[in-house]
Amino acid sequence: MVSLTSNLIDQISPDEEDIEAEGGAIDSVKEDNDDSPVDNPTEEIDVHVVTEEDLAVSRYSIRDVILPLIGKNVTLPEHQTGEFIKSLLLEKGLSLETINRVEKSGVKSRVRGHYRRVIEFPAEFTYRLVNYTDPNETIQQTEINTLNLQPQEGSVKESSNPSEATRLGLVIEFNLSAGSYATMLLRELMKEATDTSYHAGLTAATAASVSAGSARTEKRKESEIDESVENESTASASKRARESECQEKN
Amino acid sequence: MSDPIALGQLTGNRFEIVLREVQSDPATVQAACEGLKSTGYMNYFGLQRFGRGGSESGSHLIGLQIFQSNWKGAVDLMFKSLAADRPDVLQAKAAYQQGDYVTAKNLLLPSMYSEMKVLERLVSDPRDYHGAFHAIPRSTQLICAHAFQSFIFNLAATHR
Repeated sequence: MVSLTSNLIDQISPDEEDIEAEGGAIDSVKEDNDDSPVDNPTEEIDVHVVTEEDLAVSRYSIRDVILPLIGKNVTLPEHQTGEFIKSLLLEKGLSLETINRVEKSGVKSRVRGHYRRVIEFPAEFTYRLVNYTDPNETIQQTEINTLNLQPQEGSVKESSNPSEATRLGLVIEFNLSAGSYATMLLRELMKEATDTSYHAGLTAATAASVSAGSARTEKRKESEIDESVENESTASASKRARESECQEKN
Repeated sequence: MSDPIALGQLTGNRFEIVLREVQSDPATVQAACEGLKSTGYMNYFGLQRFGRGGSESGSHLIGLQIFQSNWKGAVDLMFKSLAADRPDVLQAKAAYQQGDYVTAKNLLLPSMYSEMKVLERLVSDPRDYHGAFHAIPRSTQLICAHAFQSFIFNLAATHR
């Protein structure tokens, strides 16, 4: 399933005006200019269906694979997921034909098809583990603290007195593309760590979680509020990683 | 640097996040971080995209109604009673469900702007669901449509 053939690939050309059709299956998605910038993405996406030849020369990688956001004039990939999307739409009484039907006005006339990368790679990703004792102590200097000229309290280093340090913290920094969610990154990061430690049969984690109170990350608190839609539509990447390993061996 | 920034010019965002009470051991955490760097993560839309109704009446379900041109369905979803609703909100919604648009309008909270625009239209023409839905601010209409797109994307990406 991670085979690249018949995927949609995002080839944003450096010069946005220069969109070339490259024999075969490229669609260029041009945006009309009659709507406000809020309604339209400003970049023009040059969409290409990956061919066997592309695969042979390793022209693309998993980083380039995109999927459609359903709307007018969108291209579906030519593999199983394209079929899956079609059947999803069909069971909801929709089809590309009905979606592409011209509407003169109303919200439907303004919903553009677009594309989005399937996999996001955080850039300039750094992380450091810290040991700390007080749940409320400042670990990372925040902008507000800097503005208020407050010194960073308890600047904990990894080399703190080990007998005092009881809690483990993780500070991560990274860049994401516009439109990509840090919450999804965190979900993946924390789930994966949990899976691994489960397999390792850790008991310390269970014991430590008895001191409930602050025993949650800020993000985890948020995500517990309404995970129903998220759980319906997503899967963890540890599952995906295992699948792709199997696929590559074939 | 002399031109003002316009919407759509954003190339990305940088995040600094502190996670506390990490339960795993350092080696596991390191492995997880390194794995993330090399494998990336599924570029799903987060739950913020789907509005407060969740699986019951989230924006993406209203979005589906839009794509189906089912305007009554879209409006009905806006007034669907939710477990988390306050009693006064439930009252307003109940009035709508009984077809009493005038009462519903009077019971609305000041913050329920979209619902107000809808009811204003329905009070003057109870059958014009198309007009009622389109009385909602355009940006809000689009949020629902985009939520549906995002939901389909998430499902497709999972399938992939």
